[in-house]
Amino acid sequence: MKENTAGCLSSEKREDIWAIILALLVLLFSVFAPDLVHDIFKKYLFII
Amino acid sequence: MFRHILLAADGEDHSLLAIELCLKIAREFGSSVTAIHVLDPYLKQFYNEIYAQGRREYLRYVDACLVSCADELESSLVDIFQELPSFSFIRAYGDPEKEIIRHLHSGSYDLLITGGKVLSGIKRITSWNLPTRLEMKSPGIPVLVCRK
Amino acid sequence: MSFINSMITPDWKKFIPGLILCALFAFVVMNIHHLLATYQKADVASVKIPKIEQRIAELQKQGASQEKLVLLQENLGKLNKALAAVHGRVGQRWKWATFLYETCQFKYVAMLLIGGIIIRNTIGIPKVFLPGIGIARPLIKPGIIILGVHYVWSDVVKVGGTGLVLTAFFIFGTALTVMYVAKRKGVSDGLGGIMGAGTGVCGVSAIIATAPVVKAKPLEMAYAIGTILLFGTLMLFVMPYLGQWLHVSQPQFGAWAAIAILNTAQLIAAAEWYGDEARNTAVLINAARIMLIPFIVMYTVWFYGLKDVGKESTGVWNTIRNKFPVFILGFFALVLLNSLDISAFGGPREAGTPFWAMNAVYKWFFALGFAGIGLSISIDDMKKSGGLAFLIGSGAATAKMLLGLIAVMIIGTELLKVTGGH
Repeated sequence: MKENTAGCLSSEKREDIWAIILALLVLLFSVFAPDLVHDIFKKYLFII
Repeated sequence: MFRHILLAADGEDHSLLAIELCLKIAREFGSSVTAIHVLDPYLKQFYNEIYAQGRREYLRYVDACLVSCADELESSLVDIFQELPSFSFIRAYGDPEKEIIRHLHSGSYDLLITGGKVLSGIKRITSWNLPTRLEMKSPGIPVLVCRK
Repeated sequence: MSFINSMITPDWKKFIPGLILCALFAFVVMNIHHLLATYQKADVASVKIPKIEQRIAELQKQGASQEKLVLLQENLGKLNKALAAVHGRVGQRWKWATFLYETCQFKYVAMLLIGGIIIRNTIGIPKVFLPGIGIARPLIKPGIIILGVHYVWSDVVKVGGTGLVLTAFFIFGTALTVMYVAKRKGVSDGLGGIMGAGTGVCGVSAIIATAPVVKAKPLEMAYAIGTILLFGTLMLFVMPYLGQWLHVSQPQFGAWAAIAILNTAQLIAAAEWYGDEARNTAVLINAARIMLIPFIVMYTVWFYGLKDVGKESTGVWNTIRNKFPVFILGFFALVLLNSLDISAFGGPREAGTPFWAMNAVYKWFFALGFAGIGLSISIDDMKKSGGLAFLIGSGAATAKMLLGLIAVMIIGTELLKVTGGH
């Protein structure tokens, strides 16, 4: 039981920091290749 | 007739009747009693709700609640059943239904006693609560549900 | 190094199956949504094109201004493009698409949530997928941060300010009323506390934050969580249709959802489902709302006169630090960046700019998150709702829905509308 609890230590902070990291990555890619990012998520991912 | 009784107790009010009855039957037949208390981690699954803050505290708190509930139950049951020649208390961890059924399979029990709420009206037909499920899934061992 | 280590759980591998499942589910649903939207647009275009062509001809005869004609021609070009996307011709109809997409509002949010609930509660989810599904839900957070590009500070001050007053009023109003009435009626502090916080702020998230503080009993928690999930989910499906029926404007709906829907995971879903403007308003007010979690915890501590809370959470500053949702800072950082109006970043509507590209990404984060939310809504959990918690929950839910609707109707659309600046 304790092991289970230890595995989730302050997971909300970790989750929030990951969210910020992911958003930063998106910002970074968008700055360097805006058209590519746009096309991937608006065109290439739609296959039908 | 009943040599070894499994008593499923959760510490709620409605299991008091089950405990009382279990004691009477055990005295009558000289049976040994094993009480099982399942610590159900059900509440812990909600810890990562999307904006939940203070998850560590929450998980610790739920664990503490489960353990203190089990401790209380154990000491009161040991008191109640001390006159019997053989009594043991088992703590299991997981889904109550699965754990109780697993123990029924593994031990040489010949009666399961458990408490339950009195169901009224439509709930008598629709309720699919733990005692009902235990009755359904018992491996041929009689189940006594004391509803209060 | 220790920071990097602490960012990764040692058992991260257990999340992979569930994440893949959510990604697949989101991918399929987004494609269905795209297909429906394409055919719906073509259906609309097919009807509109002859009308616009006629109008252009009329205007040309009357010798109308060039400006008007250019506008109409641009519009015509778009409609022709929509029709060409399905290789259709004028007069051809795709009524099924309009019916599903417009009338039934069968959009990706609805498909992911309803589909997820159906999958979870009929065929069920094998245990290996559960941790990953749990971790997919917070992927809404990067989506929310990215949505920061839709706001400028004047929006935050106007809508956020109105929203903050509104949410503060509703949050503390609900919490105060529930806790007060519960105490008067002799409900235990544990149940009254978690129900007050749960119906007031963020549903289950607030229950998690307050339960250890008010020492709620496990059974009370199960009742309370079940009740919040039940009403949160019910409102998620009822409110968008109710809003449409009552002709509630998009910004008004956003505010209404943000103050009335008990559980926060369901809030963004309802607003995103209703439309972009509703979502913009809801996300901003929601940011205000979740920032109030630490304060509601402090309020609960004060209301029940609790002192012995444990070392970790004593003190005002510690409570705020421990219970403050950090990711919201990322959101405001982007709002700040957008407000500075740096031309290199552009805006969500300016093609070819970084913010425009970012705006294309957020929907995928939302889709992953909603897949996780849908797949984790279990009817068995809701069945656990009961007892006093159910009474309190149903009362608070109904009151918030009605009073919230009246409030947004009085405030009107203008004060709740996000402009996005530029």
